[in-house]
Formats: sequence, structure tokens, C-alpha cells
Amino acid sequence: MPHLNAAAKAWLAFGLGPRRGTPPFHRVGKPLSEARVALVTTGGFVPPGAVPFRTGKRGDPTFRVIPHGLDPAALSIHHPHYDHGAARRDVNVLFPYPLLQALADEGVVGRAASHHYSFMGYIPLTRALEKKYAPQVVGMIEAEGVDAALLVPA
Amino acid sequence: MGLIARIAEARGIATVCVMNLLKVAERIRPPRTLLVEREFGAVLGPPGDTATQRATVCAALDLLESAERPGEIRVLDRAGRAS
Repeated sequence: MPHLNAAAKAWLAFGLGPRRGTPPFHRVGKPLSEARVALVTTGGFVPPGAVPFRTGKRGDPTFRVIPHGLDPAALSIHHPHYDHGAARRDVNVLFPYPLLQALADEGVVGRAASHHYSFMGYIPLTRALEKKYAPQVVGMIEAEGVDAALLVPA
Repeated sequence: MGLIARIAEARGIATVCVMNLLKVAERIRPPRTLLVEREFGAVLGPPGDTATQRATVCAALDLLESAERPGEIRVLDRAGRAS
């Protein structure tokens, strides 16, 4: 897919340096059928009453908290760099909390987290993301006793 | 997204990223990556295609559980096979 190569080139042009050394690695520590799983998307989803993401050229490193089980039709999408049509028709295309509930009902995973997290993936300057907002999300995930997270891009 | 995964993993939350840009995954090196050849806006599968979405999420969950080495990248082909 040539356009994906172009997208990668554009993304890398932001100048984010390569991460060297061994990536951090933590095993789930229990069978997935007993694990609590949260979702993190960069699809720019915003729940009712929350402030929309800033979609200008400076991007937006903040996040929104999405209650598990919220009617997907209640979500709005604020992201300037992808076609929202598929996600509006079916949130499972990139923010699969209804599908995660089905997998929990079947015992594939233990349970879905009570909350999931949405960023808007256009973040050309990542310092605030790395130093402030991502650690805040991780803290909220920890506080809920989540064992694992599935991250899905826009 | 890979940056968020690295921060979570360093604090004891196991993570798996679905990604569609190999060069970005190689640059950021998330702890675990399931690489899919799909468009932005529907990386888990087309709207209404529950089978494809489910196969993709389950492949990611399998990687979450079975990855043996930090930074592992597994490729999900169009037939839904991970390698």
C-alpha cells in the first residue's frame, strides 16, 4: 500500500527519535481468561460533555476517558487525519469495546475494564504526552487493577 | 501509541499494539506489535465485518499472551494468519 508508506514517511518526519535498547516488557501474569483488559485508541473519540480534541497543526496530547458500555452513537470523533466513516458506522473498526465485551462474555478475557482511553493520534510534539498525559492514563489503568491493554491506532 | 505502550509496560501493564506502519513500529519499538495491512480508520477490519475484527483482536490477544521477546512484531496476513 504505497499511501501507507507515504503515511509512515510523514510520521517519521516529525523527528521522533528511535527508541534504542530493549523495550520494556511485562507479562500478563495470569491467563487472559482471568485478566481485566482496557483499550487505548488514538482515534480521537470524545464522550458526551467532554471537550473536543484540538485538531490544529500543533495537535493535542490530551486524552478522554470513555466509560465501558457507552452507546457508541454518543461518541463524537475529532481527528483531522483519517476518514471517520467506518468508525461512525461501527466503532469496533478501531475502538472495539463492544467486541471486548463479547469476548469477556465468552470467557476469552476475564473482563473488560470499566473505562477506556482515547487520544487523538496527531501529536507532532510528544513531550507532554510522554511526561504528563500517558503517565496519567497509566495511573488510571493501574488504579482500576487492569492487567493488560490493547492499543489501536486511528 | 507505541510510546504510550512503552510507558504502560514499564509500569507493569502488559500491552499489545495493533499497527499498520512497520517503519513506525521499528522506530518506536513497542513491547508487542501486531502488524496489519489495513487502512487508517479501520485497522481491525471493515465496518460490520465482525469475523475479521474478532480475528484481529484475538490475534493481538494471543500475541499479548505468547510473546517471548520484548519488541516482538507479528504480521497478520490478509487471510488472518499471524506469523
